[in-house]
Amino acid sequence: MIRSLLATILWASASATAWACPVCFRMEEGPVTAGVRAAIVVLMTVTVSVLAGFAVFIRGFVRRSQTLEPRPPSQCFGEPRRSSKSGGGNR
Amino acid sequence: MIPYTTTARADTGVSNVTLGIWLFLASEVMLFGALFSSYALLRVAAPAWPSGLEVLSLPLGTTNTVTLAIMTGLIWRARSAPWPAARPLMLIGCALAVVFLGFKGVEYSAEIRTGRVPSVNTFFATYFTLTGLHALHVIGGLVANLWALSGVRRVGMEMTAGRIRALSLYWVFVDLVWMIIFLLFYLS
Repeated sequence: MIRSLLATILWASASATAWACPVCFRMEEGPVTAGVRAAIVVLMTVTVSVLAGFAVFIRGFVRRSQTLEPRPPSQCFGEPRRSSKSGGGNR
Repeated sequence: MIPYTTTARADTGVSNVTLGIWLFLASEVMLFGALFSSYALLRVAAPAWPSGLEVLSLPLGTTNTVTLAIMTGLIWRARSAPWPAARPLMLIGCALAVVFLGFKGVEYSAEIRTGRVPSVNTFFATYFTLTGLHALHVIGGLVANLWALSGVRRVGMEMTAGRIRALSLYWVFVDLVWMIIFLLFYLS
């Protein structure tokens, strides 16, 4: 807790140079810089959306695992429940 | 080896095929995301950018948008329909995918005939890259549709229903990507 608080204070108090993006740092303002910025925004949006999706998915797993009955270790890596049509093998 | 299950697993809450298709779609989002990011870079940095309304065929683009939307709707209906009703929906969906590819081929040939090729400018380079990759996804989805339809006798209806559910998610993704392409290239 203290460590994260300290890191946040350090990060917030750092100068603007320390926050500089390594891709466009010290680039001249112009169309290329604007293009790079737009590209970064698009890619960050896509990446954050996908990661947020994974986070929601994993949170669902965790919640589900809390409601499930614990299984003995011998069954943990065994085959899951199968339906009547399950055909063995990976198709 | 991971066994094929058609029912939702207790630990994940979804069937293996659904989990697999979601992971696949996540990787596809990253692939197209990188290309759209490149598009943003090239477009914003370009000193001049042609208007898609002037250099592309809007009627063909609109027809393809409608075709793909209807096709996705049909496949989405097939996912919850019983097999006798799902089969014709899937077949019509396949036919519409062929129609989409046919129109895209007509559009490409007209553009190439008039010298509007990827080497002309960045607009056409990104246009052919994105629409070409999208067309490859339509071809892949079409092959997967036919594979799911042809495998029903071999694997049974329950497993085929799982495949159709996965395919419906895939087609929604392909349709969404096309909508973005249509918006970025044809309408701007």
